[in-house]
Amino acid sequence: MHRQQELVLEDVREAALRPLKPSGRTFWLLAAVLALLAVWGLVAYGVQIVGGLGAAGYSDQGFWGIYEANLVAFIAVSYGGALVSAILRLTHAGWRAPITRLAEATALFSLLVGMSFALVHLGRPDQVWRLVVSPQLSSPIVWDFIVVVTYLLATAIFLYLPLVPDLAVVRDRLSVKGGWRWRCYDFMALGWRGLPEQRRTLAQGVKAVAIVIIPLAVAVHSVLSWAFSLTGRPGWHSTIFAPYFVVAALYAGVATVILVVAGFRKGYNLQSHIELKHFRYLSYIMISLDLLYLYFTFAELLTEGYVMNEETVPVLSSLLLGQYAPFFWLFVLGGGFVPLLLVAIPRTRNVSGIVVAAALVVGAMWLKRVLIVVPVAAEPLIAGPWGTFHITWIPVAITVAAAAAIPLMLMLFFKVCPILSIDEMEEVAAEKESHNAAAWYKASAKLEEGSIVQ
Amino acid sequence: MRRLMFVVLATMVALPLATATALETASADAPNAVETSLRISGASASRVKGQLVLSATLTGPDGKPVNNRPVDFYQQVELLGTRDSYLGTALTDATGTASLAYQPAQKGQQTIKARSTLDESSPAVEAVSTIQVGQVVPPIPSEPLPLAPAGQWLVYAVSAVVLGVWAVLLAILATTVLGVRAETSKPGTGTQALASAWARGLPRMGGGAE
Repeated sequence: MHRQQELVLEDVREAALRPLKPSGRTFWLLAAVLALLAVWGLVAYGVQIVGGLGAAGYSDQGFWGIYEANLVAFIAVSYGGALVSAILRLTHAGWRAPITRLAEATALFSLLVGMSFALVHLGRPDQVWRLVVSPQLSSPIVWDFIVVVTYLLATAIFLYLPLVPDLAVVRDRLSVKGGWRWRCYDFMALGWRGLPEQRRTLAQGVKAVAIVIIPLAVAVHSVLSWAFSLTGRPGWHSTIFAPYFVVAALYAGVATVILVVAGFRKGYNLQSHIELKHFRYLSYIMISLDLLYLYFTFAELLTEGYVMNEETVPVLSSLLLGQYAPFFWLFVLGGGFVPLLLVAIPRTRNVSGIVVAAALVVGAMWLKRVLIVVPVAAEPLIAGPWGTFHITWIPVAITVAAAAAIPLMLMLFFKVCPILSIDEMEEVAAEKESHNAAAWYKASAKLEEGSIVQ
Repeated sequence: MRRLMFVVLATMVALPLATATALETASADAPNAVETSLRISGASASRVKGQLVLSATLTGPDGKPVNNRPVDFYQQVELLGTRDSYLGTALTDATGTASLAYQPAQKGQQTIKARSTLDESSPAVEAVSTIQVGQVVPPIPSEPLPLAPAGQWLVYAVSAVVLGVWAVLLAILATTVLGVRAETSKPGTGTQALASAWARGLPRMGGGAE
């Protein structure tokens, strides 16, 4: 029994440490392409600093555009990763083990990318300093800044603490004792020896962060939504925006976790550890959130559309029937109903089908954020023409760079840290083993009892 | 059209709250300078219910004041380039004077424009003047908002919550890091680690190295 178990666990360790070994040409080629895209975005940002936000298509009639949508969308991605991992940990969902590391790392890196859009969106980077030294505490923007920074700290701790035992594995297996790599890993692994007291302390720490991060994540997206709903502009001034944004973040976040898990599973041949059931369970969560998001969208539109306030009508009609209608209905179809069907139909409920559904959700939810931002910002509150937001190459380059930066950072991160949570997988395997042993014991006891009765 | 000549006289007045003094008496040409001539008269100060009042006098080609014509007032601002920010419109009276109450939001020198037409078909004429604003009226009404104290307490409460969350997060990190490290430095940890790992029936890594 021990020998067989050891073989299974050895396979886990080998798979988890696979990215740390020297990479092939495909890896470096992909990393180079992603890095080039990221550099392209930095160049575009430089051009924007010189030319101003007008160079990015902004005007005083179209004052919020793609950057604000990106800020919400990328932070949402982070939210999904952290929350999925935290909830699965707290509910002791055994199937979580192979995907928690990917979810937590995605949470941290997408948050870093999302936060950077605050800087891009402000136009002049020195505005950030003014936000620090002379904050206006009645402004939701200041609270956005505070809560996102707090969430960044929590996300970093949430990624780091479960990583401690696995860093010890890297220290012991892939580095020479006493060498600089060994010392680095030993420092980061806190001198981990796997003692029962260490395990207890670590488990308590991880559990505590998992508890804290859930309300914190809810707060992050609520405050982001208040940056819109506290303005009083028709289309943004809504009481349900906070939960609406939270559900949207979870929905897009779970979809992104599916895409990240699928990508790294394929890239590092992790099929034997990340199975179809993981995708199915994640897709069930995604679809539940899909239904919830559609419900919120319907509730929001019905409430505003039924009353037909004079100021709200132009935004609603432009969204449902006017110039933005094709995009809105594309979102409803591609982000709402098609993913639902792909997961509901047994034939398409496979890895490919679920990945397609997740990709549609990520794209459609980004589009939805643009539709929340642009039409409302463009509507004139006093007489005058509608504002227009012209998409120039600058926001396109910056958005593409941001999307490329997340997988790039993940790839580089997994060059130094295990991609699978080895310790958790071992723990789950041990629990399973003890369950099996207990079941076997029970069954044999029953059999024995039966034979005695007979 | 060529006969339409009139003069817009903009008079900027200063008040106790918003002390504005016309710095210069300037003359400005209308867009079609051949047809019209414009000049701004010397400013005079007056007080109208504690507010700064912008005035412009419209005079026809015959030199007589023009009654009941709208005059638009603008402030020149720098927002994504130089542009005119609309302040408001006032009708001329029998003396040809249009007056608009104005509360400047910023101190310093401001460029004010008055623009009008003699009738719908005639071209617009414009007068420009510069004023110096010494004091500004606060843009927010001075009377307290009904829920202001609650808002203030909310800020304190939320700040306390944020500080609390930071404290909790840092405490979790510190406790965990120090707790794990403390066990490492205890003597005989290597054998204990092996014993605990094997006791669980698992050859766990990170504990079996020694």
